Amino acid sequence: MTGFVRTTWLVALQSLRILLGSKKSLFFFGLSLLYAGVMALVVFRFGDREGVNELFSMLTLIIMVQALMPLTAMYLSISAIRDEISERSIVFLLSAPVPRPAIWLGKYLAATVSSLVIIGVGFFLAAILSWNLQGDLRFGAQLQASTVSSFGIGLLVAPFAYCAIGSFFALSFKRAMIWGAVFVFAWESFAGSTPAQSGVRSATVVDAIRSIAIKGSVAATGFRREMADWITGGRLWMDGMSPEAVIDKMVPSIPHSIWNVLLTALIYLGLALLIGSRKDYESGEQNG
Amino acid sequence: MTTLSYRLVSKWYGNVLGVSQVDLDIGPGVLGLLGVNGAGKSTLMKMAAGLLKPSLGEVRVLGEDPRNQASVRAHIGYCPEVDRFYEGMRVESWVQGMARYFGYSARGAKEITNEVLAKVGMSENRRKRLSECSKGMRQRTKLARAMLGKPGLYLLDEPLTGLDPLGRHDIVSLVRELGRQGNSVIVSSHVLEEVEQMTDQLVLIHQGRLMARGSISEIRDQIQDQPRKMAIGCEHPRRMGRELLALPSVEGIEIQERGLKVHVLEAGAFFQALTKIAADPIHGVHSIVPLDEGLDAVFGYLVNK
Repeated sequence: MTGFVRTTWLVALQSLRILLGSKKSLFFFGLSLLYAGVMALVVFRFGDREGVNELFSMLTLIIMVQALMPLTAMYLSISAIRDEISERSIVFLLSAPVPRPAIWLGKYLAATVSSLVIIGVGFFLAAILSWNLQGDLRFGAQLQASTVSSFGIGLLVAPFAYCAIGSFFALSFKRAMIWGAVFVFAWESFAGSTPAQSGVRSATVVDAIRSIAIKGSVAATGFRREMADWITGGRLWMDGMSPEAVIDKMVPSIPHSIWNVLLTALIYLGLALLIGSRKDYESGEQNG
Repeated sequence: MTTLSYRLVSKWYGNVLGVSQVDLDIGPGVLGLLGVNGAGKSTLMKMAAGLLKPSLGEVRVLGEDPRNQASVRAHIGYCPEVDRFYEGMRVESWVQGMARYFGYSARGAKEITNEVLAKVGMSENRRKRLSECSKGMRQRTKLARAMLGKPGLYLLDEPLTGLDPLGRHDIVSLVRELGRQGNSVIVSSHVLEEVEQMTDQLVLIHQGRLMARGSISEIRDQIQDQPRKMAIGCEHPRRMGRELLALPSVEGIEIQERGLKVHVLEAGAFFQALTKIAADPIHGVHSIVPLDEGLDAVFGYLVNK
């Protein structure tokens, strides 16, 4: 067991160095900083009219939660595994005295940490900028800790699930990037936006992350009202329900959503390790 | 003592047969694995290195399954044909990083890296980035990595590829030395001369099947249906040709300017008779050279069988 932990750690460290030093990480890092820049610009321009909690919540939901986080985590986790398999440099690890699950687990952890770092830096910078921009009291309500922490928790747990799904694709399919793209754009974006009544939405990771944000950002009343309206499919006012009642009734609790995300991560990671232990990744067909 | 054994091993890649019913025991010493591209050499090596599982049969290294027993892979020094690394890394960092997977502490990894890089003649280039290394340097780096676990079984897949003559000489000496030390060293190649430099013990493989095993002359002896060819240098080829044609062990002759080529059916009887004929000074025999005991000839016969 000690050997397993040690080798997992070694693989994770090496993969982390490679991932964080790669051009693709730089690209996603740039996007993350772009999000922070957009946030600063929007808060500075409209913060007095809309309220910084609302702007921060809406932009983070649209840019980070629904787009950048799933894309970054999915891309990095697939790349961490699939690049080495397609380049065949994986033979050096596979022929070393390292248990296969330790290799894949190490790469999963490296991708998760890389995603957290890339997304975390942008998010942290966006929060700091928003906080400072409304520090001169030009804006109405201050950016509240509850707003930042609710999105922060979501963004903290999301990479565990997305990277597990990415690892599963990378170890199962040759064209894992296509599968990853289909998952993010078709499943997470499309199915994740279906009305609550369909039930499909609750099977997506993005829904759980959004639930954490909606439930936790109590200061962003405008954002919660919009979300409650969206959850009910625009029937909020018709049914005469208050946004708080809708959120209380229809949005799962934060611990429940966190558990859902982590359970998804565990299931996909388990499948990935199982497949990764059984499948051959060095076909050698093209050689002697 | 058997280090590596293949028991009726077959491997398919979808519908393509990679290796078929190979049954082979390998002990200490250098063994050449010879075959054309696509013959199944790399597949056999990958199965021994634990990279591939056989579709049928079993592969054992020191009695253990290398695919599922990670610990046994510490005793395998695998030098793959693959030429891709973490390109941005320096040679020494890459080897050191690999050494950690073989159980070395950080300090131990440094020491063993110095040791193996010196053995393969890469000490001077240790600080080079892998992307800046020549093909030969990369080959040496892979060999250094193969020596990390102080293994008892070396699997060297085309180890001389890309090496300059001096590099070839060094690696050939190294391979021989590893064999002398009691290690089992399997060297694959499709270049006959390469293998001949390292060992006379061969396994010939063609279209996934084991064709023959042994020294070149032993393998040649196994081929009964092909007449042997001898070149005899002499002063009077026609006269000698007449005498040789009278022998029942001779199938035919080709007269040449300063000698003749003889096609021999039964080597034993022919050599007995030839000793007497050649001793007669009237023929002026000055050389007798077997023409088809070279690897290429033997291999050609086996492949065309």
